[in-house]
Amino acid sequence: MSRKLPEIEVWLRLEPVPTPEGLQHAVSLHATEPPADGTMRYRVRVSPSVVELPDGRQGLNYGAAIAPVRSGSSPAPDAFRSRRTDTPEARAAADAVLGAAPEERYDRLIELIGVLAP
Amino acid sequence: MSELADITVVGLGIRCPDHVTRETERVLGQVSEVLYVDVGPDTRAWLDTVNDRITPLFDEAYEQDTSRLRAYHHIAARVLDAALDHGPVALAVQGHPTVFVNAPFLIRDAAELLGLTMQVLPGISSTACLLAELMIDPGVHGIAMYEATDLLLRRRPLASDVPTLIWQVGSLETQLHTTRPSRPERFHRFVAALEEHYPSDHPVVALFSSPRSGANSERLDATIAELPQLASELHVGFTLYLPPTHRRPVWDTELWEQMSSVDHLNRITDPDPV
Repeated sequence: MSRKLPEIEVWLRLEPVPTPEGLQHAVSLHATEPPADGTMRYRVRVSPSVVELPDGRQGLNYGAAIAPVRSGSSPAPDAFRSRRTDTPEARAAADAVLGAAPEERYDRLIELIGVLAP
Repeated sequence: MSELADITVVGLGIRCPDHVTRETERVLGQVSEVLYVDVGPDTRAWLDTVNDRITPLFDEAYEQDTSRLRAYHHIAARVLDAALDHGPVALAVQGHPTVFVNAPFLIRDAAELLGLTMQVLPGISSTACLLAELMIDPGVHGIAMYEATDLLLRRRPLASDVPTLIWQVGSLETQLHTTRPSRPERFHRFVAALEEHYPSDHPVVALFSSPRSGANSERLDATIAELPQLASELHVGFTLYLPPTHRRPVWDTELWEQMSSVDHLNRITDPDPV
């Protein structure tokens, strides 16, 4: 007899880290509280990192930040892209573009794009 | 005539104008300005026949030894600036507008904040050209595609039974723009990564689909171990094709039998569709 486990959505963020053996994925895990609304779906962000072991060797540390996802929802198709449009900084940069004189607009646009894709 | 978006991003195909779709041609004739990034030999002359206001962006965007990201930012800013000033405008790029082109994504995000509308029209990408020239059907063994440097950065696992395309082998290990030829050393790390999944003597084909109408594509045949010897010839336009090493056997024999069963078809289809 098996026990049904909660459905889990996993988002992996892998960072290349140079080691003596070549590039490796370094991972760290940071678990948070499960969602309080009774949903059983989680989003797990994995942030890899290399750690120094007590004996001096390097090891991989796996960690994940677990965030609730609304029940029944699915990640957006471009969920893996880092979009920064919905931030006060982005909105302020956009307002600066819209308020700029034509001769200044290109510079303000470069600043806006820098906020969106640093 | 449908209403134009403030910004339309179109792909001109690999060989402009031979690959341009009628939809793209129609839109380019309706916008107030066409900004373009395509160094094909016939592109400018053709664009001049469809619109009076044509602006090339390649030379002003790309500088030797500088980040390609800077070029993408410049292209996006120029298009957004034009759209705010005298839209609707179009950005025309070589190939397909979301295949190895970063600026349309920057434009999309910024347009959303600036209240500008945007649409993207497809074009014939180098993927389509390559599948045709090598006669590859992705329906047979599947197909996998990776960007060369990304493959190294993330140590992406390769499935040697799946036909694999690796893009931008000519710009390995840098995000800076350069037109200088590569040295053999540039490919050592790449070859080592491939040899984790393929034998050293596995054949590879490097293909560059010519942007010149009627011209043959450039094709280089080698083994994985021989790739460094092609260093000076492998420019950024080349794509590498690795044929599969073997055919993966059918694992689910039950499904295999059900595929020819009428009873199974009746179980998975609705006999009384609305």
